[in-house]
Amino acid sequence: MKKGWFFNGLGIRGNFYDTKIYSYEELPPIKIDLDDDFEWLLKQPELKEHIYRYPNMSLSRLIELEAQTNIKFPKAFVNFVKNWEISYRIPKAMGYQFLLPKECIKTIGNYSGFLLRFMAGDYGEEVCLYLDKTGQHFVVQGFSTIAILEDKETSFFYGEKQLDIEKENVYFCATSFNEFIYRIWIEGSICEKNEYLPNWLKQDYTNHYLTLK
Amino acid sequence: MPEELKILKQLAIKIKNKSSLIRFKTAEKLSQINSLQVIDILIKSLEKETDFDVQEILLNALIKFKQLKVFAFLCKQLENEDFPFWSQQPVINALCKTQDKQIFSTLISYLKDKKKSLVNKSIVQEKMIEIIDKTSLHLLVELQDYLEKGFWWTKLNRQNFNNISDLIEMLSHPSAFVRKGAVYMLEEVDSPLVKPILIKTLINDSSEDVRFSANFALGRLSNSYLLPYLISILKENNKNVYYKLHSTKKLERFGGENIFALIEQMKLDDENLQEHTADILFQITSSEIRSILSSIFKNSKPKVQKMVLDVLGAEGDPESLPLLKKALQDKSLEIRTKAAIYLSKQEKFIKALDTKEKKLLIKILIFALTKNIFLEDVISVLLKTEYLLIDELNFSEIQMVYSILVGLLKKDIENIQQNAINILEKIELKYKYSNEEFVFYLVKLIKKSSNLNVLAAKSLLSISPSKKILANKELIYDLVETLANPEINSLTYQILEKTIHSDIVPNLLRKAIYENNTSAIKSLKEIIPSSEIIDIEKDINWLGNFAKKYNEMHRKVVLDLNQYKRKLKLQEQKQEVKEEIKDSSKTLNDLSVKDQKISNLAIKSPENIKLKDLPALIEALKTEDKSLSSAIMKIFETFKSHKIKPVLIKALEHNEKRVRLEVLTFLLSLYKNNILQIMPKILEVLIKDNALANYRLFLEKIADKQPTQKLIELLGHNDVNMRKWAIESLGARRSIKAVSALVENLKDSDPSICACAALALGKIANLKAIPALIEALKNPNYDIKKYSAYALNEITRFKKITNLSLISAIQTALIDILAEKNEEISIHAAIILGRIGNHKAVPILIKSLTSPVAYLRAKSAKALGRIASNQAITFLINLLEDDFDYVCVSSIEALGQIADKQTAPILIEKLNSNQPAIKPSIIRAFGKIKSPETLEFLIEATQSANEDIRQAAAFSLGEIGNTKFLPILIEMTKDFEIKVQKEAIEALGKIETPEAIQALINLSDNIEVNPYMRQIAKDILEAKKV
Repeated sequence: MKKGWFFNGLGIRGNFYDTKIYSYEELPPIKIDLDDDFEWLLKQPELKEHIYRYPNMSLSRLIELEAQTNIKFPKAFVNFVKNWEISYRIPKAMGYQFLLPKECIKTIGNYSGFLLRFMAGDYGEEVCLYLDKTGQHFVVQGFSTIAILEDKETSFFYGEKQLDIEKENVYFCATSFNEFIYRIWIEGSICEKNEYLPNWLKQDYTNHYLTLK
Repeated sequence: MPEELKILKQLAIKIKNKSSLIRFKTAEKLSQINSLQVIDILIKSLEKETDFDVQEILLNALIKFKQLKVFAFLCKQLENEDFPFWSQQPVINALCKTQDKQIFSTLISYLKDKKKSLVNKSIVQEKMIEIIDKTSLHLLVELQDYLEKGFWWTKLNRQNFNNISDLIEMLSHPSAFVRKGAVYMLEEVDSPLVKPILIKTLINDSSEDVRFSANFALGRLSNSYLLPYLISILKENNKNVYYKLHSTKKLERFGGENIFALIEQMKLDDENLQEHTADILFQITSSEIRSILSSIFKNSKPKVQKMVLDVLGAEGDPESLPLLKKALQDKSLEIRTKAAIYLSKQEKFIKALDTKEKKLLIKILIFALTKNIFLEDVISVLLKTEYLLIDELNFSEIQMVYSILVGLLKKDIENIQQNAINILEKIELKYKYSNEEFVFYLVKLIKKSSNLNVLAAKSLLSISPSKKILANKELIYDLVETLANPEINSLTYQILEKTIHSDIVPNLLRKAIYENNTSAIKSLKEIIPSSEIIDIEKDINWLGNFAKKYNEMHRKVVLDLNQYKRKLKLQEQKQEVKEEIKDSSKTLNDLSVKDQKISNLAIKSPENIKLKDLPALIEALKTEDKSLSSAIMKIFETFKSHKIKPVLIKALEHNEKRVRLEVLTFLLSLYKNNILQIMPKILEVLIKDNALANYRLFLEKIADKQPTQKLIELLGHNDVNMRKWAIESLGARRSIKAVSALVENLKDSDPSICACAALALGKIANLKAIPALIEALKNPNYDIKKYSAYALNEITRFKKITNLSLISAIQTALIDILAEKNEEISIHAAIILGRIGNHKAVPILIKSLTSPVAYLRAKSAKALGRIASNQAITFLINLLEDDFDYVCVSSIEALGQIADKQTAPILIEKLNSNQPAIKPSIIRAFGKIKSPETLEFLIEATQSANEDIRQAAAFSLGEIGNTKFLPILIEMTKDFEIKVQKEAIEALGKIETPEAIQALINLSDNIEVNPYMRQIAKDILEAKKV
């Protein structure tokens, strides 16, 4: 499966306007102990310009989606939906918003399971949890591929709503939901100049790319 | 009027049209109607409208009617959680345009809601502040927390406050925030009243912030009224230095007559304040001030003293002389130097000094020079006092000054260098030191292209250094180089003439000739004897020959280079031509490489390609290169469509998938009205190539253009795919006309036609289809079963079935389906049974509670709850431990509906579990069960931090309907969350006592309450016929 991280250059690996898919392998290592309750993030102060979260991202909608897929969702993801405070600490970046869909999209092929779209950008960017039938998950990034299917009416004639993520314009972008939130937090913080981002973390990010060069 | 009603009816139908253009035009017409009957049409169409432009027109039309119903609708839209935030913007605009103060409470609660978009919030703020007027000042107070710290008052609509008496009234408002706004608006009012009012505010207002604002405002309205007040501020023992500093700045405009306050201020121990005050004093001319400053001088700190000197010294007033003289003996070097500088600046002061004082003054200045204190000033005054230097200093002192000044030449500061040169020149002329270092720096300065080179050259010429000094070759060369500079070459020539050393001259001349420096040659020739010049010229001739040869070589190279460049340019032009014809010829060139058969085409230009060449081009569509295939498409476009169509249709049978699909895409663009002719072929290709989903949009568009009757006719088409496509399209259109024809198709021998028809019938959701769908449920084919179950689910969702025998037939069929344990179909069955089922379905639903599929377990539980079967209680209780929260919630809801009091303790126990998702449903279940032991938990839940739990608590208190909960519910109508408010009002409606009704009446009459809530209260009262 294709791997990549879609974001701007942060003025570190590219310029601020250079929004594209960057190498996943070259992303700096994670320097914080990530926990399913997001305690690491809740320690941060609430941001005035935080990422927008639709009211439809509610626990009641989430548990129904969980039952529909018959798969237990990752604890970190459920905790995230449960606690609005977490999203208040993630800086607004790339025009992303958190949301929950009306339904999950089935996937076929080597990665059969479900895609649960939880984030959308202004220009058709979509971030989804991929869930396999055993409940294992990772995060993928699509571009105007998944939401279109959600909107389509059920049809027998045109075929079921399903997707082979290996054949589509979909990229693996994080090994877990936790990792994705960390990544979007740190890159958003660098990009939006979040004053609460510890300096050593920013330095570490910059140094990583400098070493690569 | 009947005519108007007729038009309204027509518009009400037209506004539902699929085309957004028609809806847009209809909306415009609707917006011109002023009859109240249009409101309902507008509201209904807005509920369904998705196009923003149409929405905006409808909203603007709606807000004309200042009816509670309208406000309620708009508020409801604002609270609609499924509404994307950007589409709430027209609603916000519309709400603000209503200019209705009642709406504001809704908007304020919108601002308080953390879940709302920040973008929308800023729009709300801006819009609200624009419409605030004297009657709605309390809103400004409420907005206080949300307004940016910036210039919010500039956004206040001045037209709302154009009366000065309103603004004066605002100044006595209890909120400092409002008073601040008033101050800023007063500043813009052109009235003599304003200043006294602001001054009054400046003195009397309790808020420092407001006083600040008044101070700023008054500063802009400079006026003599202000002066005493500004001074009084300075005299106040106020600690805020910034405040004082600002007042001081204001005072700057008023001259010196009230300068005492400034002087007082100088005594304060704040550097900024003192500095600024001194600045002002500096500009003020008043004799009075001098004596006062002189008196201050004695006891002040050095900083203040320095400033006093600055003020007094600058003027050169004779009265300052004693003070300056005294300051010459001050302890502080800085003070001494300042005094010396100011004394030296005025000739009359120097004349007034005695010899001892003069000597002291010049020594202070020299000492300051060594210590680098006020360097620039010191040097400039030293220049004025050069006669003092020479008269008053002994030889060694002069030498010291000299060396300091030479040292200063190194500093790259023009003023200092200039003055230093002047002084040094004078000393040199007097004492003839012939200092090598000074000459060296002068030459450097001459060579340097700065403003000082002329001065330096003049100076060098005037001191005429000895030959010995200039014997240094480096210096001579440097000077010769400057001969090229027309500004100073005559000066340097004179210098050279006076001082040059004969040994080096020939070489200098060679250099000058070689470099073609005419002024240098001229000057040098005048110094050199003519015999030597001949020798030199011989050498130069040789050099000239060499240069000539070199030049020829150079020219040749240049010629070659030009030719080369020309060639290069030609090549580039050729490349451009190539680029221009790339689209067509590249295509064919590429093809010739790839395929021998079409190599002949490669040498043809696109316009020469004939119909017989088409097969070769079609063949070439195999390519993966997109630019190539689009080039071929462009060539296709050059043919007349009737000629190319048959060839392309034939090409749909090509053995390559890529070719087939490329040709098909082109064909879709070629056919317009008569596309149905080739539809069977197109569908065949798409199905064969498994590409139907990719072309869904195209096919749906084609279907949209067909009339319903045409699609119904297509149901009898001999091509199966065409029939399926027609069925699908009729379903998407939700055409009731097509139900009978689709029911016929449900009985077709082709299972895929039946499945398609079942799905379409589900979308149309018409009761007529039920018997056929029940039959279809019995069909062994999985798809038919699945879509028939789906269809029944959809129909029962939208339509109420009253025919008992029909209900019984559906139930029997569904029970059979559930028994088959086919998961996906069973889910539909369980949902439908929940709607229409009775006790007969209970056993099979209980069995389904153990299904491995969570969603089926949940839906079966819900169905059992609706049937309210006591038999299921034990099984539902077991389900409370399910892994999936949704199953637990469904089971709790079911237990609530069955409402057996014995289940209360189990649910209470479950309330303490760590499953936040299930808590609201437990609280709701308590309302249904109505067991006394749950009451304390319900009351506790009304105070929960979770709004869903509070909402559930309000619901349950209403369900229990006890009057003792009235105060709690009334309090809950003021909840922070709209949904809790709404639930509390509805709960009040459930309590059948006069007190509850009175509470509802109070709510509906209270204009402070959100209009949406008031409408709910009103509706409830109407339903109760109160």
